[in-house]
Amino acid sequence: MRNPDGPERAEAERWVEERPDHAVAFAQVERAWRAADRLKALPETHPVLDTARPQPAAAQAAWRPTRRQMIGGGALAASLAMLAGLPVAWNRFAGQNYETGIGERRDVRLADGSILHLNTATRLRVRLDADRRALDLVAGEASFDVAHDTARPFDVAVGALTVRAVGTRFDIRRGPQGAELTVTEGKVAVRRGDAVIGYAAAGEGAALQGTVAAFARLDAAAVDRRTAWRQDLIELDGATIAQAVAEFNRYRDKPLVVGDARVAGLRVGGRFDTRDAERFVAALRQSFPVRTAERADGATLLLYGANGAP
Amino acid sequence: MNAVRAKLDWFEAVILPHQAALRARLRRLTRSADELDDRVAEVLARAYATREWERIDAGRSFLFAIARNLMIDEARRSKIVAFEAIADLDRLQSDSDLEAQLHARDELRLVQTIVERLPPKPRRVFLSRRVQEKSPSEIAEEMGLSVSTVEKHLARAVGHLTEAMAKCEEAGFERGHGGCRRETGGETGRAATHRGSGRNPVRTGDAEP
Repeated sequence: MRNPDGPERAEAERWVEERPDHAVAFAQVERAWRAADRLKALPETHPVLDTARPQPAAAQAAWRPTRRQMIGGGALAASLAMLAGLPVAWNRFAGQNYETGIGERRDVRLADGSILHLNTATRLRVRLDADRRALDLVAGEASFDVAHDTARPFDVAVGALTVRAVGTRFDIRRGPQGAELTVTEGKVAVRRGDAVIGYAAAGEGAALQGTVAAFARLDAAAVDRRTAWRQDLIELDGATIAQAVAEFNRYRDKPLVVGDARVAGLRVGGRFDTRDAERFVAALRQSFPVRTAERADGATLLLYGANGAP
Repeated sequence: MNAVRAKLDWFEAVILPHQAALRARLRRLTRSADELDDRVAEVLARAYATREWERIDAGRSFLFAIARNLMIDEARRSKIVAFEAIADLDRLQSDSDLEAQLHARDELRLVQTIVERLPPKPRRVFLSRRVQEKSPSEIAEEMGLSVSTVEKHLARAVGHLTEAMAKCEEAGFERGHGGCRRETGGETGRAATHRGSGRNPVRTGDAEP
């Protein structure tokens, strides 16, 4: 029953795809079924949940066979049978996918008026429901200009944590070691399931790792650095060359590779265009004992020593 | 991503929340209740059949555009064209897409209203299955019924809930009558008497699975 790719699912898909009215019937029934899930949030003693309570007289009087059913009995039964058989596999988060390739940057306006700014190599899933705006930052980095709507919280899932905003502006960057949250306007709540584990307001940020979050105040320069990509800039302020190279490589197919430990630890500063690592490399060669060589796969090696010297 | 699942999710999230608004609008252009059902069903089927669904995120204007086309097709086919009908097509210009959706609170109240009104057996079956998550055979045993009778009661309950959700706009249903305001045609005044009158604290959003 719970096998996500079991025969029930294939069967259900066939039936749904057979005719548009099947799909409409199934979607209608599923929506009602999901709505009824809200009953579970009521206290057990709520009168609505009392199965022994008699039908109110007024309802009895109004209870006459309807002239005809909106959804035919056959379609209703089929939809219900499918729902009973496979809610787990089919009910997972789904929605619209937005992606950017390496070096690509993209802005997306959502139906609710919010604007998403996707940085390089990013995957973001979006689902706008009547009561919630649910996003999932699967990979990469994005900034969110959230349209104000108190009735529909704006939730960005980052692994096991969720960042919730109502009307605000913030940035999340996912990396191999976790994610970095930067709030530039308003305030967000970081949640684990239904529990709020902390808040970050404008000028604050958090490191999100697994199920924990560490909050910190950021100075204005740090906020600027973290959001510089929206102007296609990389701002370096005393970063090591290894860190700077990692930053540029997010935007490049053919990476820069630090080929010598003596190079890796040198510190650099300055503003560079994300799309123009060549200029960064030129600046390195000018200011440091760094030379470059091209590897067979197109990667640029950064080596120690003056150009031309071995 | 499973394509069928993704499309159903789109349909449930983007299109279906606006079907009650579509219905209310079409009601003024339609003579009989059966005709109204048929037209709504046709518009929804056309909406689902669209190939470009991934690009559509404004469900309301999309549905209204389909309805307009449908009405124009019908008018062309019929020999006698009612001028009022053509003029009324302007009613199918969409206004705000965010208007008239059923929101979480309303949704819970609607579900409560429908469940309260169910006859005892479908009601008990529905609550046992949906809230207590008992299996049909368990319920059958408890109630001394056959499994197929349990399934019939369940289908009846879900059928009513589905219908109510399809017909009720935000704040457009009344507790006394359950379901929605009556579909007797004509202009529909908005019944907002029960907004915010829930007796019990309701968690919204958080109660999502």
